[in-house]
Formats: sequence, structure tokens, C-alpha cells
Amino acid sequence: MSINSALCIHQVSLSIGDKAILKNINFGVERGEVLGVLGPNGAGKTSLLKVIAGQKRHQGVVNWCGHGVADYSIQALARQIAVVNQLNDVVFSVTLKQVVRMGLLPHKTLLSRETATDSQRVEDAIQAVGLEGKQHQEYSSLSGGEQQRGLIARALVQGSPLLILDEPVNHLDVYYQHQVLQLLHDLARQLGVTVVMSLHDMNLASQYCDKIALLNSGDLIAYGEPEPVLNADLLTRVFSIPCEVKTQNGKPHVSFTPSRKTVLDLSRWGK
Amino acid sequence: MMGRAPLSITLKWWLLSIAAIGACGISLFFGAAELSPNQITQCLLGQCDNPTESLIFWQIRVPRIAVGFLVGIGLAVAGATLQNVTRNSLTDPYLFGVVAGAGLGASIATLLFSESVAAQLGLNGVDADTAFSIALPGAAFLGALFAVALVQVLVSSALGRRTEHLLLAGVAVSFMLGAFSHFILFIAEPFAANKVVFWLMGSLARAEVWYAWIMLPIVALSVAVLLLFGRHLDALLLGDESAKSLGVNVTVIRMLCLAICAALTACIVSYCGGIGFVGLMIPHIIRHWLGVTSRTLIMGCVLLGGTFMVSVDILARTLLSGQEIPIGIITSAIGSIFFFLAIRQRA
Repeated sequence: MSINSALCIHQVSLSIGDKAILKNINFGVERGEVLGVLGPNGAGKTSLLKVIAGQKRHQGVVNWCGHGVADYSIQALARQIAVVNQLNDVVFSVTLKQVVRMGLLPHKTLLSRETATDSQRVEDAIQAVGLEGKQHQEYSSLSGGEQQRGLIARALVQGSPLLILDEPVNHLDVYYQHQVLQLLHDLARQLGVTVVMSLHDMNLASQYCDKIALLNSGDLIAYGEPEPVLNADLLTRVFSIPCEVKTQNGKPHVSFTPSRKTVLDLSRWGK
Repeated sequence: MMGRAPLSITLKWWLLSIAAIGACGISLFFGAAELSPNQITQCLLGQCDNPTESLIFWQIRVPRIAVGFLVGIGLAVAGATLQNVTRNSLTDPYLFGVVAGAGLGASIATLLFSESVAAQLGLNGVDADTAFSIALPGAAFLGALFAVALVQVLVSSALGRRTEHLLLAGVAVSFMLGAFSHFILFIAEPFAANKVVFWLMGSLARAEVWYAWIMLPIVALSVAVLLLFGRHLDALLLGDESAKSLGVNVTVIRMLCLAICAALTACIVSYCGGIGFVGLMIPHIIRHWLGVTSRTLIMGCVLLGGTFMVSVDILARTLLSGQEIPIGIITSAIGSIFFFLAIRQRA
């Protein structure tokens, strides 16, 4: 971790009321790296992402490219950081294309028109996430996975050098899980985009992330490359389930081995 | 479900434009005074030699159409904006206490400015009527502004900035001001109460040239600003957080839009009374017919809102021979039937 990292999280804490959500978090991510944030439900993953995205007041400093995230104007921040949150509820029948087109907003003044390059950019992004042919469908009629990919396409159009995604593969089938993660990995490698995302699947994180941050109850338990972070003792402790870690294709592979003791006691419910 | 052909969209815009011009043109032929089609054409071309006819045409008919069209635009655009900003397709400017506030202002005006007060001020007959016709919309305008300010204060201080809170505050203010004005009407003389109730039903009968000239810049400026911020309004369709991450200052945009809606509705309601359902129905139709993005929606509302209002005004003047029906009654009747059909179609 270094103060010279592109993204630098320094002594970040966040509490809501008396409850500490994040406790003194420190780490740095280099340009073009993919960071996976792991941890059980309620560990503070989403909060950490929101803090990095400049969407939540917090203590401590989040620096992006040498400037505090809080110091950017709202529009300048949108040109630096694109955010893909978990699914949004949509009230009116916007089409997929209209959603993706929203990504142009940070690059437009009030009077500027959409150019041919802009339209091409929108088309390309839709194609990149495999949604070509669905441009004119209502966004809310798409499946969860398609909506998720639509939001990723919007972030691509936004073209910010830091991309923050909250569980981007949550609603995706296995094929698209790999497809989307490969896409994000390519963005990092080929365009130098820094990717920060929360994930639930240890093995996807192991395969696609350069760095992993393991959170538990607001503490950063471990940070670093997949190899040291994904170790059996640590994961067993954090997730309260025994697990084994083997090496597959040079990457750690985690299998949880639950005890399979019954947790539902129906006897008290009567007949 | 696949993409609509571009031609049909263009065709729809043409149809809307033709309908707008058509409605205004047809409306020229209706009115209390008898003007033959020939005389109307002459007046329109500036070749009318009869000064009375020319006066009727330019001082009564044309202003009424202009006012009707502008009121239609104002109500439809205010409704559409409010719905986008609150992300709720059932929001209406009238839910924000504007009508209740205007009603309260009007009620207070009638209470303070009764015939006896006018007599004490040395006004009688026509003078008293003139004074009253200025006092009523003036007080109504102040009342409408007061209601909007009250909603804003409630929302920004105690309740936070969530859209549900905004709606709840609007409804609460509506009922509170409504209770006050009912109480005032209850203790006021019956004749004055009658006047306020009749005024609240809405009418374009009072339309005059000066009012059209006041409305024109307000409506034009509002529409221009909303079109300018079209992309920002679109970004709000996926929620506040999403809009913020796209660089939209959500609080500022929302306040700006609310201020525009408040100004539009206050101007309209204070002069024309309560004309309901236009702000709900017109955006609803445009969203289904043309699309939901803000610039399309607002331009659609400009054309269809104006057309609708001018057309309904023709009905208001012709349905009963010899007298006018308050236009608010017709818009509410059409609006309720429209919503009934819309629900049935969806079910």
C-alpha cells in the first residue's frame, strides 16, 4: 500500500448513529488493477464502495489521482468515477438505449447535441455487453442480468478511469458472470481502467481480481493478492463455515464444506 | 416490441402539430358573438372594416385561444416535470397544495373585500366588480405561492428530501389550507362563497390580452429551461443515486423543477381557477405515444396540452346553449373517464 497509489484509502471510518460501519480502513489500488471486495452480508462492502464513489460522508481520506474525492465537483467526479449500483427500480418505460445513453451526460454541456461519435459509442457499449438487438426494448422488461449489463454498458459510455460496481454478477448466469468479469478485466488491462467491485463468489474473485480486500463487520481483515488473502483459516473464521483452498491453474480455489447439520427445527411449529 | 420506425415518430409529431393548429383555427369560429366565417377570415387577414367585429376578434377570441393554449401547455408541462422529478406517474401540480392555497387566498379576498367593504371604500357597481376581479386573482396567487413555500419549508427542514415526503407534505398542506378556506367560506356571506366556489371550478371566460402577455414569457422560459436540462431530468428516471453518479446535482435540479412547476401552476390557478386532470392525463398520453425521455415528453406536452385545452374550451362554450360550463368540470369529467379506461386497458 502506498500513498502514491492511484486510488488511496486512508484511515476511512464510517458510522451511522452509534453503529460503526467501517473501521479505520487503509489500502491503495494501482491504475489498471482490478480489486474485489469480499465479505459476508453486512460486512460493509456496499458502504465502502459508496465512500469511494464519493456518495457517503465519512471520516478519513479517499484520494483518486492525488485529489480527495470530496474535492471534485459533482460533474468532474462523474467524469472520473462511474458507478454501477445494484439494480435500480424504473418507473417509466425507458428503453435500454436511453439508459445506456445516460452515460453521455457528464461529457455534455447543456447546449451540446449528441454527435455521430456519441451514438456509435452507445452502440459499441451495448454490443460489448452482448445486448445488441435489444436497444429499443423497455429496460424494465429485460431480465435482471440484462439490466445489470445495461448499467455496465452505461458505465462504459461514461468512460471514467475508475469503475465501481456493487455486485456486478449478482443476477447473471455462469456464462455472463465470466463474460462480464472478463470484460472488466480487459478494460483494466487494455485501457488502464481501475475496477473496484464487491463480489460474493471467492473463486470468481480469485480468477479475475488482482487484489482482494476481505471485510468483516467493518474491519479490513486482509488485503492483497488472491493467494495470501484467500486462505482457509481466514475464510473459515470470517464466514463461519469450514473451507478448503486448493491451487487450480495457479490461482487459489475455495470450496466451502458446511457441516450439513439441520438449522430448521420444525418440532416447535406443531402440526 | 422492436424499434419503432423513425417515420412513424415523425408522423406523430406532424399529427400533433396539425391538431394544435387545427384546434386553434376551429376555436376561432366559436364565441358568444356571432361572427360569420367570412368576417373571421377578413379579421384574420387584417381586412376587417367593422371596428366592433375586429375588436371582438382581436380582444376576445384570439386572447382566449392564446390563454387556453398557454394554460394547457403550463399544466401539462408542470405535471410532466413533477412526475419525472418525483418518479411517480400519479403526481399532479394540484397535489402540492397550489389549488388549495389559491382557494384560501381567494376566500380571504372575498371575506375582506365584500360588497359592504367596497361600499365603505366608496366603490360601487362596476368599480367594485373591477376591484374584486383584481383582488381575487391577486390574493389567489399569493395563496398559491404561500402553499408552495409551506411545502418546501416542511420538506427541506423537518422531513428530509425524499420524494415520498414531498408528496405527503403536499397532501398535508392541501388539506390544511382546504380546511381554512372552507371555514372562511362557512362564515362568509353566501354570495361571496358562491363566487369562490364558482371560480374554483375553472374557466377561461376571463381571458384577456394582458394575461396572455404575462403567461407567454413565463411558459416560454419554463419550457426552455426544462428542455435545456432534459438530460439531467432523464438521469433522474433511474433514481437519485444513479443520477448523482452521472454528475447531476439532484437537489438543485429538483428545487429548480419544483420552482418552475410552482410558478406555472400559481399563475394559471390564480387567474383561471382549478382546471384539474390536464397535468395528469396529457403526460400520460405522451409517454405512451411518443416516449418518456424529457425533451420528447415536454415538447409533446406543449403541443397536446395546448390542443386539449383549446378543444375543451370549445366544448365548454357549446355544450349548453346560452351559457358556459366551467372548463374545470369538463376536464375533470374527461380525465376521470380517461383514467378509468386506462386502468381497464392495463388490467
